[in-house]
Amino acid sequence: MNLPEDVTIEILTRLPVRSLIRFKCVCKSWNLHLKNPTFISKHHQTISHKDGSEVLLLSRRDTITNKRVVSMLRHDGNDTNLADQDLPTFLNDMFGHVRLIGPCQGVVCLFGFPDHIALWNPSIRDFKKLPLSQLPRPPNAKVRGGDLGVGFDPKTHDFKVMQILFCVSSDCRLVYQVEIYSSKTNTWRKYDKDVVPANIMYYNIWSTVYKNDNFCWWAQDKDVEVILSFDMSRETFQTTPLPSGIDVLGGQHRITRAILPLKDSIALIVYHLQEVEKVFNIWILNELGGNGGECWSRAASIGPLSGVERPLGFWNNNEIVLESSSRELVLYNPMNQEFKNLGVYGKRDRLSSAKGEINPSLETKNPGSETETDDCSKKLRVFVRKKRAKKTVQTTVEEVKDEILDQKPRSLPEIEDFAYGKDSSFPPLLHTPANWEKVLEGIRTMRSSENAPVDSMGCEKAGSSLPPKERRFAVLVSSLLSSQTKDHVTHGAIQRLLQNNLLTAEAIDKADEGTIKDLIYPVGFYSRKASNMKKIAKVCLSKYDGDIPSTLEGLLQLPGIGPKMAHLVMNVGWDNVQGICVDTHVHRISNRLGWVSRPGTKQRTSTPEETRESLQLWLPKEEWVPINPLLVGFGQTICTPLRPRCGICTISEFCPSAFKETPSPSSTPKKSHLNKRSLL
Amino acid sequence: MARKNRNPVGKNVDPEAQKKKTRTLTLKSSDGQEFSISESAAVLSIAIENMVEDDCAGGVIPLPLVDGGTLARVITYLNKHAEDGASDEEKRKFDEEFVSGMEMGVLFDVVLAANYLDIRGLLREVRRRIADRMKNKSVEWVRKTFHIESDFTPEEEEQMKKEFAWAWEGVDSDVDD
Repeated sequence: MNLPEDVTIEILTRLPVRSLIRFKCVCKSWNLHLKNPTFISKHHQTISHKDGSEVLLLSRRDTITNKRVVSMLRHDGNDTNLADQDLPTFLNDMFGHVRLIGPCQGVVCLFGFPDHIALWNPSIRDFKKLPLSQLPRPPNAKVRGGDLGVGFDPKTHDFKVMQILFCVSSDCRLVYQVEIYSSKTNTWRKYDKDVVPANIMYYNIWSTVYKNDNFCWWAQDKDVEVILSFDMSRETFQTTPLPSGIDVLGGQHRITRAILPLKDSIALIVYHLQEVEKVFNIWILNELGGNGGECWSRAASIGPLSGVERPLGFWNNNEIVLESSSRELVLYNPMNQEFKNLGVYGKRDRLSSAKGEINPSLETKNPGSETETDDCSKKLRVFVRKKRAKKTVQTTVEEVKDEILDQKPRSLPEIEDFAYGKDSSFPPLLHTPANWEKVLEGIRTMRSSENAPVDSMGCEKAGSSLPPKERRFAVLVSSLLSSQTKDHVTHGAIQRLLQNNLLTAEAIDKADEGTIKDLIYPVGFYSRKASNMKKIAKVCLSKYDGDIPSTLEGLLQLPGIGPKMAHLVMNVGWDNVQGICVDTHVHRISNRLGWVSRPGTKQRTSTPEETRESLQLWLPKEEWVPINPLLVGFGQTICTPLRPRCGICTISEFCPSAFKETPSPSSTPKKSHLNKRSLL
Repeated sequence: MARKNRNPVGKNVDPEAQKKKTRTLTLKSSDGQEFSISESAAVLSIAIENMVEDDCAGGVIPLPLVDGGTLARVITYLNKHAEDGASDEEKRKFDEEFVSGMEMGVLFDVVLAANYLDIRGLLREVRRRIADRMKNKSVEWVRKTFHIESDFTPEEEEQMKKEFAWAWEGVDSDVDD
């Protein structure tokens, strides 16, 4: 007896994607049904309402191979199971830094800025690389950054990717260009129906959600924080203010937010980045576009929890996925207050934790997709976040501060401004050196033995066992002492200060300058440093309650602290990436590798500050912190200032300076080596 | 799942509902078997409800597309779901057990009957059960069970199999469990 067609189809909508793929071969009429967009939508809907269909995608670096791995976390009965996904090599090569955007209808958008965009349907293991946008960009302007949104137009069954580019023109103005890709036409078109009404937040990377056909970002409209949303079907922007009365962004405790999908709504989590015991306050957005007070409702808080850094997403309706302080992914269940470790680590700061849900669904082949790699589909649903920062953009055309534009901050912007406001860090198209990832990977491998002084004695290790406030002070003192001083000497000085309980602002303020001098000897300029330490301790006590300043500007006002140290302290002390910390090693090696140049020329940079600016132009932000210890260690062991050991260096094939500086055995090292020798 | 009986027992009982409970209907299967069922249970089938409302349910309701064995099963289901005081949890458990022992052929009969009689809950339950049974099965098993002849050439089939080889991994044996 045969079943009526509608009954058969109903049954098929309940099957997992894997079965459907197989059953496409049952007969031609099944094959047609399974490819039908209406069926696909229906299937997606059915599957996504099934319990346990939630999937979490994680993009991270493998601890051993350092390769980009995308793993999928899914329910397996009562258990949670994690499986690495096959990323085709072309994607792995193409994307140094994959951001996962979406998910939308089971499809994730992989984004490597700029212009590397692919759609990925993990449930059917299919990819499509999007064509490059051929649209004219604003004349005389440079594309400086971009945010992506994905969406599915249920009316036309069209899968869309939108790109909000921000461009800086030669007369120092920022302009938006919005472009929309349609999977139906497989082309990009310019969007000019509406202006972008708010600036997407710098940390937006944590906070994008696709819900009810709207792609949402955490953004700022003048001084008001909002959810910026784009209706993928009607193609209109909308802003929804965040609830009134939530803690103000930033400040001493580094208050921040995350916007995450929760069931059918959007959840806002407000928490203090700097608190050891974190409380996550949660609001639920009932309706986009309402006004602040009415459209949000307060949900139960989670916490206080210690040992966790940031929330990544909700799981299983009531559990929350968090990144732990040891960079492991943990699941927390507020009902029974139990933690569960998921056994996934990221390297140092490199756990680019993804979160969200994927509801596997069926594919739709793209019209006109012919080549193998172009052969893709869409339907899946993910959500991801990555620890890579982003910039915020000016709404329309607006004057930009000089220092951001010409990349030469005369006075460094204040932190809040830098972190949550404009960012000059987005890599422009042309400056990214070839093979830089292979080079970094090679150095990482060479460095994996961890035998350089920086590994055990670098100032970022200072006081790692201390409570946060004291650790920060230790980092500050350690950076101060480290100038013109070898790591092991600094380390010794710090150890002696620690043994004498002289590593807090209070103690140093009370201590005798002579005692300090004796303890830190033989660091370079020990007497000036001892006197600076006393002054710093006073400032910290009077202005910062014994803690260290939490802004770059504040740090720079301390005696003896220059931009390099300020960045290092921001990076390490506050765990906040404000800029790459360039010391002599980073400066030298970046130039040897041909990674940096003076603006507009091919000449090597002459100062570490120039190197920092040049590196920041292209180096993805997630590398900003690790690159310092990496290159410092590399510089201490292999790529030494004098007689670099190119013979044992595994990346010499990529290095334009390889073997050029190895002097003949008889020659004596020249002191001027660093600054004068041309590398090319 | 919302309770069908909105009125708690003993409180303000709707006289109409009370009447339905005591009134019985007779359903007649394709092979001539007759079954008595309370009206309140029978009207969980939208098709039967319509017939009752249109007053075409004079005496015996013939159901020419449902055989006796299947009708008996359907009636068991309807009675359980019309039962006073059966909790949602109880019904859920009943549904689970109700379909779990059925062979594929029986499931097909029941899904057809549920479709014809428009019994939403039963339809959903059986569809889910069928999907569960078939999800790990081979293409050949599906063709046999659904009585479908392949109209693909062996080459076309081979091509699809090659393209999505991973979807063929971990397929159960064709023996029905």
